[in-house]
Amino acid sequence: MRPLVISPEPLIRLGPVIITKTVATTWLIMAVITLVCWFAKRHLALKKPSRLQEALEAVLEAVENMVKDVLPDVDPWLVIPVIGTLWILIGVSNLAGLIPGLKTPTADINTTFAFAVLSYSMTHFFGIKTRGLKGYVSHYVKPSWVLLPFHLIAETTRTMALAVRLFGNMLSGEMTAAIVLGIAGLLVPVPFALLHIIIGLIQAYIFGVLTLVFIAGGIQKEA
Amino acid sequence: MRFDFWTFSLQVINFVVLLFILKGLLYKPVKEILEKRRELSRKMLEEAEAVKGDALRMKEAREKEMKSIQDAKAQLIEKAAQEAEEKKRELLIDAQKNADALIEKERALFAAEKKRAEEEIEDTAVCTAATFASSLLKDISSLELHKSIWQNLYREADEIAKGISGTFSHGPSVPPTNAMELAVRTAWPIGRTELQKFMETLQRVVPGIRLSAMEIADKDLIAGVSIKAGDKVYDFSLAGQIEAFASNLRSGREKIKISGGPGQKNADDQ
Repeated sequence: MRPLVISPEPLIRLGPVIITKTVATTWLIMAVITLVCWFAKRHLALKKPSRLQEALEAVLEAVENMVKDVLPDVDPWLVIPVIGTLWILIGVSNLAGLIPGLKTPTADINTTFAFAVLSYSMTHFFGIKTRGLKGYVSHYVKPSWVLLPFHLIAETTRTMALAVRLFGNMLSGEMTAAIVLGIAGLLVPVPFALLHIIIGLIQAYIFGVLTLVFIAGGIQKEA
Repeated sequence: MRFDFWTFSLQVINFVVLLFILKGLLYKPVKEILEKRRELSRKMLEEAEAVKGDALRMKEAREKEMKSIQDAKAQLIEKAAQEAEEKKRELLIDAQKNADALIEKERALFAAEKKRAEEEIEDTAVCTAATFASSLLKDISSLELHKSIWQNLYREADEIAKGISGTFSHGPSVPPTNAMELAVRTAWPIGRTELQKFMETLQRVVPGIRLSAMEIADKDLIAGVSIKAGDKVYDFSLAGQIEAFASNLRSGREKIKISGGPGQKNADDQ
């Protein structure tokens, strides 16, 4: 039975920097994504696209349509890179644990917390970019200064909720798979693995959609 | 579960790095491809719209053309119908005229035929009547009747003599000498004495002309005589009277005198 480790597992130490297994897996995932995209870019075709190109175009068009639905008055390509990168990275990371020997990066609270902080930062970044610093900050005290702490608490808690939701789902999936594998052995964990795939994709989608909604709330004046 | 600063920081950096990598490798090229494809689709759509517009315009033009053709066709049909009606009316009028002319012609023909038939019937009737009268008179004729007619001839002697005299004065066939031989055709024998007596009677009227007579027996006369003097014939026979009666019938004359004055006619008429 594989030991359940929920704390970061140091892999190597480069001076003061500790490279954990999570980070290494993330690099591996980034490398794979980069290679795939590089390969796809080299074979981009206008009239007869490859299946890979069609899949990537489908993903980006899905993101574009979702952004257009949420932000109809804003150029969708302003936020598509952020949302798309979140989807791709979190989605692939959620499924990485299915490969033996790899650790699911999103089953590490540091990773999900990092993504949540990025989501939080992007919300402020796009809010200030579109509305200006004063205009953006002013919405915290509207309609009254009294609401400022509530706004801050709400933003903090929703960011933490993002991180904890993704972490909890992925960790539970890994733990379930590990427990079932320890109990029943071969083939029995397969349904759970399939369920884990679905959950992983759904969680990636939820994380991206929530980030988009937060960004939209920061961009739109009356949000 | 514990917070690891380096993991957290590296994951943030990883995300940002991946974001920039994907911007260059994925988002920008795919966006360009999508925009090109959309532009291509838009152009194709515009071309299709243009073609559709052209097709619609062509359709409208064709419909207008078809409508004008239909109108022209309807006008032609109406005109042809009117012309046909006019022609029909003209033909009917011509036919009526022809029929009227034909009827008139047939009527005229019929009338002419009727007249000819009536004339034939009349001629036949006259001929029959004449034949019947001849037969009847032949049966009842006698010498006494002949003599009675001969005696009546003396009353016409002056007129005959004047006729003879006129022949010598104006006639075209004037004899070279003042003599004339009369051909006396008679149904019954007159007798030399009686003939001489009659000639003397005539001679007294025209003493300047030497008259002679030649008696010719002719039973066809039925009764009476027919005297030929030059080119004139003085018929005092019953056959001559019947013929005169028939001629009068044919010419519509109403005055028929069987026993009246002598019928005088030119020898050419006989």
